[in-house]
Amino acid sequence: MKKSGLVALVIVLAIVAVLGIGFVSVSNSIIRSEEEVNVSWAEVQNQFQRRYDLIPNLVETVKGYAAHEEEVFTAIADARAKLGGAQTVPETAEAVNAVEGALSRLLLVVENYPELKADASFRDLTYELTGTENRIAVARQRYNTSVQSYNVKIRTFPNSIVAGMRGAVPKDMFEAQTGASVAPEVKF
Amino acid sequence: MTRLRRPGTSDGYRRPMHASPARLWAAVVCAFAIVLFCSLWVYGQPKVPTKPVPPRLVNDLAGMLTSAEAQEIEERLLALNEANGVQFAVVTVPDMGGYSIEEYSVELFQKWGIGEAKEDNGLLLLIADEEGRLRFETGYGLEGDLPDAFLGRVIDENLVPHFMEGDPAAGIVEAVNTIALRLAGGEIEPSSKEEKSLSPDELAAIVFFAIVIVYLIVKSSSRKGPSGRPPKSGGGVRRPPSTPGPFMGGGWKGPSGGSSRGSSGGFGGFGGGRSGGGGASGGWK
Repeated sequence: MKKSGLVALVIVLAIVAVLGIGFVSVSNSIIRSEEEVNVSWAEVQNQFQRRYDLIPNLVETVKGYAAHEEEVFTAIADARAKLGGAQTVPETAEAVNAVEGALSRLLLVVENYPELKADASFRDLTYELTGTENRIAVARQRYNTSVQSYNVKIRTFPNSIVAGMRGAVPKDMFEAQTGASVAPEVKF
Repeated sequence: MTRLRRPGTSDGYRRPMHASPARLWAAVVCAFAIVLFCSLWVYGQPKVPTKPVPPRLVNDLAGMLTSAEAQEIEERLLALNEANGVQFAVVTVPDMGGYSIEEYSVELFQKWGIGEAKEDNGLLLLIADEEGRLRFETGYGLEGDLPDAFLGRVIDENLVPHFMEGDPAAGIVEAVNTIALRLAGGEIEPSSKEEKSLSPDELAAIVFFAIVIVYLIVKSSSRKGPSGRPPKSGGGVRRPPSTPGPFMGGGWKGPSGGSSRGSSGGFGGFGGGRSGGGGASGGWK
C-alpha cells in the first residue's frame, strides 16, 4: 500500500513539474514575442522621427523657390504637429497618413518649379526623403509581422491559457490608409 | 473470379480504400501541405536568387559583365572587405518578376544576409537589367557612413551615365572606388580580426557545454543500479528547451563571424547582416 502511495505521489509531482515547466517555457516565449513587437515598434518610431526631422529642411528649400504656396506649407506644419502629439498606435497611424498626404501635395507643387528640381540640395533631400519612406515601409512591415506572430501565439491553444493568466492582449497592427501605401514619388 | 483477401477484413471482400487509416493520414498531410503552400504564396514575397556557392561578392546573373570585368570588380570588393570588413555585394538580375526594386533588394539582402551579423556592415548594389533600375541597399551599420543622399549622387554621377552608354562595368568600378574612398576617409572601425578574447556570451556557452559534457561523462562512468534513465521527478535536471536558446544564439554567432574572415584570398561568405531599407534607387531606362 505504501509503495503504491509513493508511486502516486511521484506521478503527481511529475505532472506538476511538467506543467510548471510548460507554463514557464510558454510564458517566456510570449515575453520574447512581446519584446520583438516592442523592438519593431521602436524602430518604426525611429523612422518616423527621422522623417519628422527631415521635413523642415525640405519645406525651407521649397520655400526658397515657391514662397507663395502657403496652403501646402500650413498643411504640412499641422500634420507634423499632429504626429508629434500621437501616443497610441492608431493615433500614430492616422497622424502619419496626414503627414504623407501633405508631403504628396508638397511634391506635386514641386513639379511646377523646374529650377527647384535641379537644385542640388533639393535633390539630396529628395533622396533622403525617399530613403526614409522606404525605411518606414520596411519598419512597418516588420512591426506588423512581429505583431501577427505575437497575436497568433497568444491566441492559439494551449498558449492562450498562459496568456490569459499573464493578462496578454492582442496588439494592433499598423494599418495603411487606402491609397497611401504608395510613398510620395518624385520624378526627374 | 478470384477474391482479394485483405488482411483485417472479416469476410475476405475488398474494403473501400478510404476506410484505411493510412490513407486518411496521407490525405490530411496532403491537405495541410496544400494549405501551407497556399499561405506562403499569399504572402507575396519576391522570389530572389539563392546565395552563391561558393560565396562571391560579384554575382552577374544577368550577364551584363564579361568575366574579366567581373573578376576585376570582385578583386576590388575583396580588397575593401579585407580593409574594413565591409561586405559589398554587386548583383545583376535579368528581371524582378514585377516587384519594385525596393522590395526585391530588401528581400535579397535579408535572404543572403549580407554583412557581418554583429556589425551589419553590408552593402548591396542591385541591378535589374530589363526594368533598367538599380539600387543601393545599406546594412544598418553603414547608414551613417553612406547616407542616402551620397548614394544618390553615386547613382547619378557614377552609375547612370555609364549604364546609358552601355558600359556597366565602368560605372560599377567608379561607384566602388567612390564608396571605398568614402569608407576609408570615414570612421569605420577596423574589423575585430585581431580580437582573440571571447565575449561573455561565448564564454558562458563554452562553460555550459563543458559542464554538460563533464556531467555526462561522470554519469556514464558510475553505473550503479538501474541504468541511464533519470527518475521522473528529476525532470528538473533537464532544462526547458527555451533556455539554451539565448546562449547558443549569442555564443555561436561570434566564432563564425571571426572565422569567415580568416581565409585570405577569397570571400568567406555572408555573415547574416541586416538592412533597414536605407539606400538610394535610380534607373537608366
